[in-house]
Amino acid sequence: MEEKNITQQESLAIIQQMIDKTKQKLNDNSKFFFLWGFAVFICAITQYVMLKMLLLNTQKVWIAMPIIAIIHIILAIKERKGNTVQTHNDAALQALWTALGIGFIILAYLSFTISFNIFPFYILLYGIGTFVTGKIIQFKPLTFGGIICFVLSIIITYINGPEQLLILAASVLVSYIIPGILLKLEFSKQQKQA
Amino acid sequence: MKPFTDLDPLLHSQLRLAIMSLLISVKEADFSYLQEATNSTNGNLSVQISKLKDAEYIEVKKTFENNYPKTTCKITRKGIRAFEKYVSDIKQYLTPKN
Repeated sequence: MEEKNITQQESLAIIQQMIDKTKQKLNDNSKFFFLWGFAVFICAITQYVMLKMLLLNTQKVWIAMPIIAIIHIILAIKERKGNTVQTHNDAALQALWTALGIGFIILAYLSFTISFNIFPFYILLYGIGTFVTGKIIQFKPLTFGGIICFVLSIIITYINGPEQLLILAASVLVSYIIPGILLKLEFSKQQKQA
Repeated sequence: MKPFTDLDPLLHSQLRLAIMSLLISVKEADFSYLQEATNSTNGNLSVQISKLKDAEYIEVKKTFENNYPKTTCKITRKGIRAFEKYVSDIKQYLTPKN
């Protein structure tokens, strides 16, 4: 492209052409869903098995979470460095998940200071995150996963004992892991077409 | 065809219009992204970015990443208003008058 005089039609064609180039392409966010989905799923199932085996200090499995958070930050910084453009959707998603991340940390802190069952609130936050992400990137499996989480956050309060951990595992399975796999497949399909 | 006397001369140029059209659709973009999308030369793109920056249509941020300079561009409110006016001015030319 160079400097030259243009007509009205050419002007419109340039605007159209450039806006088309920036049209939202599906980003491969699946690695973050896998990271957290599998981490929470494995920890929940491990703690459930440990409780069934009548082991003590089972809550220690959750020490893995800060380590996962560090891995997440490293992956995010690496990805950001490779990006040459940030769309409005990218910025919105970043703000959403940063706010949710802070929410997860505050909830974990509050569960120590004022003792309460943290699981329904975590499942609710998973639901909000995946529901809104699904709407922003127009990817229905994430939105459906979010809706299922909303329901599970209520159901879990009617369940007592270690079985609550199975509900927690189910919530990340439907909202993070399965939509993450579908997102990965959709992204690969889009890459092949391009 | 009528001459484009009233159109913003800063925007009525192939490359500057392309840069503004890209920046209006995203939050911010790197020099390398703009260069690839507009298929322009390094020197020409630099000159046109400077012109848009001087007119305060865009903001230019220069940083370093892995010891390489990185230039990030972002459209300003003034730039958005100018772009919107340009599009509506163009529409007047294209709409046949009865």
